[in-house]
Amino acid sequence: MSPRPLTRLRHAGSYFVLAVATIIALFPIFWTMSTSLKQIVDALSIPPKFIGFHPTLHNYSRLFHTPGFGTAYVTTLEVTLGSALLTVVVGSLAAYPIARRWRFLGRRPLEASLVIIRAIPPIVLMVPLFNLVINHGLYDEPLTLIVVYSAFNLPFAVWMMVSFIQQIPYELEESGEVDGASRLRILVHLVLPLAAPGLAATTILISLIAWNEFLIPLVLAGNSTRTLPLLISTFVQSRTIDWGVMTAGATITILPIAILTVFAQRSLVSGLGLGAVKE
Amino acid sequence: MAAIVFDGVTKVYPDGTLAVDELDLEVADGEFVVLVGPSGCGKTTALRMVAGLEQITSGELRIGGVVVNHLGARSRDVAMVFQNYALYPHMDVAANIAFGLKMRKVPKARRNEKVAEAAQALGLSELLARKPRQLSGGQRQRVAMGRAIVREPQAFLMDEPLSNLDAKLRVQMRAEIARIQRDIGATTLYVTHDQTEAMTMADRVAVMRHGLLQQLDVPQALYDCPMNLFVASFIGSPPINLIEGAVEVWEDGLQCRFGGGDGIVLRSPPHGLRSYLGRTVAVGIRPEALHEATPDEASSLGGTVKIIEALGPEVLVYVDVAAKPVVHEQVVEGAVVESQDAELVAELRNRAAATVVARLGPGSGLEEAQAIVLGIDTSKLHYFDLETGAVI
Repeated sequence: MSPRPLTRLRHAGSYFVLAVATIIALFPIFWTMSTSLKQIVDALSIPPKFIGFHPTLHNYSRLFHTPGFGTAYVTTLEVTLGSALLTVVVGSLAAYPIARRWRFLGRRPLEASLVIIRAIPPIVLMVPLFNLVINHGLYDEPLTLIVVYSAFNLPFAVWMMVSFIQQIPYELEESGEVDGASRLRILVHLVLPLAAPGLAATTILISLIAWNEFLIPLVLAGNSTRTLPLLISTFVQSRTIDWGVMTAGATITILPIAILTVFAQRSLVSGLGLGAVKE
Repeated sequence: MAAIVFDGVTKVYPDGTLAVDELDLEVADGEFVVLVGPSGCGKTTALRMVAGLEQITSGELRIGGVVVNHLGARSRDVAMVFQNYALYPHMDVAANIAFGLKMRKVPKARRNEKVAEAAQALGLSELLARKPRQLSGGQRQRVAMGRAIVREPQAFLMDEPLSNLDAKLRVQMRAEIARIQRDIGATTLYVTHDQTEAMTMADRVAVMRHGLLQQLDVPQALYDCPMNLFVASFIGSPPINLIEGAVEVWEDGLQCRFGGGDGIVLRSPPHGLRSYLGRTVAVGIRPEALHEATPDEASSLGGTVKIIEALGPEVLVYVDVAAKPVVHEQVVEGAVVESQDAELVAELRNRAAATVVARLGPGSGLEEAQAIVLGIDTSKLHYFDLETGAVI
């Protein structure tokens, strides 16, 4: 039997809304990518040309010859991976006792501070942070960026992991305990493997945030640790904006994270079909 | 294997709830003891204290003669089967069964050997490479059993292991668990709210209510000599009939009069009943103590047939009688296993007319709405104090 007309209409409606939302979301990316392939006349033409222009890779070759581009790419990669690793490792270890409601001294203040840190606008902390970094001779160091990124993203990782760990039935841990496993072995053999989809999701999200981070490197990174978002911003100068190179840079920046997300999505969505306990 | 001894074990939760109150219980080496009672009676808490998953507030718990109060779960060397099986979902059946051995650093070759052995015994050999989610309920249950037996622990603990299975499988697994337990002679403490499981599987049954042990005995003795109204109404299916009777003098014996002129005549009344002369007691009549009365029967109960359930070898006849039902709190709790069922509790409390159930032979030719007189076998009756609920 075919669906009733009203149901069909509703479906059509939802598709329409989704289509509009998708177009709105993707348009800036489309504009960025297409502009990166245009010559300057096409880029600035009015009305804008979305098709029917002469594509060129000129902007990309200029980008690759920009001094510091290679270093920025490597730095960004290094800082992103480093901070994602640090955040996820520390974050999951911190999330476990919170998720399992362990009683320990300072538990409530700790939980509260995890929320409060996210509530403070990062920019408020930049001046004191800058002072701290300068005074200890840590300015323009990749490790500084890694630690500071992690500090800002840790609450996020902790809360994500808390909700993932809470989904693991506690009986599994009790069963492990009766089976003779220590706390650490329970964590390694039971909790973390079962939280793997959560770990993956958290890692990807934290990597995304770190990859795109602008404010922290703007304040704490010098010439040798300039990250990609910073480098791209230098194409905006007092008199001109170099749209071509800037959009080429933006495209190159988006690419790895877009690919990562597409590939990771499958593992994120599927997760682990549980079946451990019968509800 | 080892004996488990509860010596005045008490558990008070941080919120002040008294879950287990001064429990004294000994599970002998190789014995199968079932803890049974309605939900919230403290049976699971008692089991979890043995496993080491729950702190003991006071008293002493010994396994194999060793006080284990302060030993962690992993140092107690007991195995537990959880109500929802708690299989490790990311491991296959073999890894699930082997996990406890791995944690105890049993060499791999020996581990595989023992897993194969256990799988053989449980009919899981074909399924060793499967993940828990690819198994049926019964198979998962057997994996959970395998995980326990492969360890050769001091004792087995089972927390309602059959409650997630459907009825037929439950009966089958009931027999299987009992067989495995006998084969390996494992000391077993088994928790259930199902009195049928308790009666069919246990060497001895411990009935609990409100954290207190009510009675500990072999199944038949629980049925034949319940210590109070709670045990009487909890054990037995269909349940015992409990009606009020006024104790009066009758010739040189006693009689117990129900409402509506019916009653029982006791030529040699049980010791103790005489002190209730002029008072009302609860009379407990098992369904098999009732039969279709012969015309000259002295002890009888008349009424109207309400429902007839023909089960094949026997017929259960529910009869509305002119007598007052016993609505003691213990009876209500014994009848309502899941105490959350508020509607049923209210209905039981406010019952005014009694319905008794009689277990009769087939071919009685009874029909619904027909008048009937039930004869009572006075040698099989139980009498209880209406205030304390204790047996007289």
